[in-house]
Amino acid sequence: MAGKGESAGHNRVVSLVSAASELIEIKARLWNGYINVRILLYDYEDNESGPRSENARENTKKPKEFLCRIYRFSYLTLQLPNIIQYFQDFQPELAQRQLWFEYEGVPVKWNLPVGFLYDFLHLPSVVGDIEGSSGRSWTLVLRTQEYPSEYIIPFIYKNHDSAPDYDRCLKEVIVNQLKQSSFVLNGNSRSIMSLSETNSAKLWNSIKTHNLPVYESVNKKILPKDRAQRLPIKIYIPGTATIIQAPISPTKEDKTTSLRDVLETHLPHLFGPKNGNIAVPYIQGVDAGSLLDESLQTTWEIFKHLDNFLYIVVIPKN
Amino acid sequence: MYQLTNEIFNRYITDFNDLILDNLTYINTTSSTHGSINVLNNYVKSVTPTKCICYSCIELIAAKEDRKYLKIEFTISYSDFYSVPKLHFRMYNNMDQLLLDMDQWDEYNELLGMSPDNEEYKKDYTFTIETNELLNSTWMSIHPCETLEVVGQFAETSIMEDDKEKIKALKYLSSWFGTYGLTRIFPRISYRPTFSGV
Repeated sequence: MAGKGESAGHNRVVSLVSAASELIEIKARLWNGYINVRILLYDYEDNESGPRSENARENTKKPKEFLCRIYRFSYLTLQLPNIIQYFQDFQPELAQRQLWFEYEGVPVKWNLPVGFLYDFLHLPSVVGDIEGSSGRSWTLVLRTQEYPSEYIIPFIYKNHDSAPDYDRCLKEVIVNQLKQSSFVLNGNSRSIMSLSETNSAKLWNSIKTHNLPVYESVNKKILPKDRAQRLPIKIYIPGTATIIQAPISPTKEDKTTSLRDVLETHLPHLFGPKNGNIAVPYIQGVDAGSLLDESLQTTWEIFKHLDNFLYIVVIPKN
Repeated sequence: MYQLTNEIFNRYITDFNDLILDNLTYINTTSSTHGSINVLNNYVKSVTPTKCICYSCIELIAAKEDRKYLKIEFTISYSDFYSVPKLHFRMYNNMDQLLLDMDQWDEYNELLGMSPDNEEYKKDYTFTIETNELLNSTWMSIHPCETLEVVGQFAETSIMEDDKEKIKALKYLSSWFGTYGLTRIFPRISYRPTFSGV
């Protein structure tokens, strides 16, 4: 029969193991989370002088549509080969053009993770309509002309056949993002800069093929060995130009930093004892209200995107 | 090592902007294109309660018969992630076409002070095309992952211990502008400030 101390130790181990397996399950569920996306291609896109206005669009023939599931931990450009292949029958020139997506008239920034784009652009319109939104897809319009370079990053690299090299452009963006997050986490970008060619290729392929074990095995080499110096966090408020890019210390005066601390510091008009919480933070599509007092480090570890940034979308309550 | 913070940046960016306006010149040499630089627009503004941005729009005009023309917009802001100032820039031709691909710069080599074959330059400078988050639009920048260390070393030689806070900040910003600013990117543009009247 086990003694009292042994039993307490055993319980502690059981609870740690159970917490660890819960964590693994949460991470796996997040990793496999996806969004149903409906991509529309209008006929006028094939016509140089085609109509552009919303009204004109309504009057054109029914658009062609492509339905797909895109992982939250992914990027829109990774879907382009499938999208091009599907629509090419209708528009043979598609592969040569610089393609871009539009959501309700707004160009969609392909350099940001899909999960974040959905939360930032679409979630505000479905929050509070949970029943109605279940199973509803996110509709994007595929544009093939008038690339808005002023607003979204152009695809400057070309393949041998002069078609845009989407992969090279995305890879460069991800590497730059990783350099930035690595600098915040480690105090320098050496870990990503010194990544071997093999590991760099493995990392890129794991992102392309959505392979969690391989991604984690390489990303581990970029992340701090022990404690992060600061945590790379980005906070956005939909419908406004507010973007807070904050390197946050995981502890302050020996106290663990929480999500509440960050929101009260950076958005005192929306969070805090004075005003009450008049907004809701969303992380990976989840209402993060219940995480407000959890350690930010833990929240970052679980919910960070492929570029190692934690994206928080703050939606004011009606 | 001197450390510029966002607060210090906000406090002195207007003074630094004045220094830039007073000291930005176009370098003419006897053997090359004669040109001039004009400031079209310039301001410092707060874009959020804690973030300031300094915006400038300049034009470069070649005096010779080819009358080559370039418009360059640049902004200076403070990167909280890298703890250093950051320059964003973008160029337009006389048709107001945005030139984000370095291959499009070739015909302006002389005006910008680059060698006729700027392949070496292209290799040395890896510009990033990215979203300037404060303005929510596409700009070019030099990735600042080495800025903290490099500018810190340069600034150390010019900043004196008994310099006032303002002079320290302006010397640091000047060292940075010479290393990772406009003058470094475009060799024909010069910025040589003096701090005696500051």
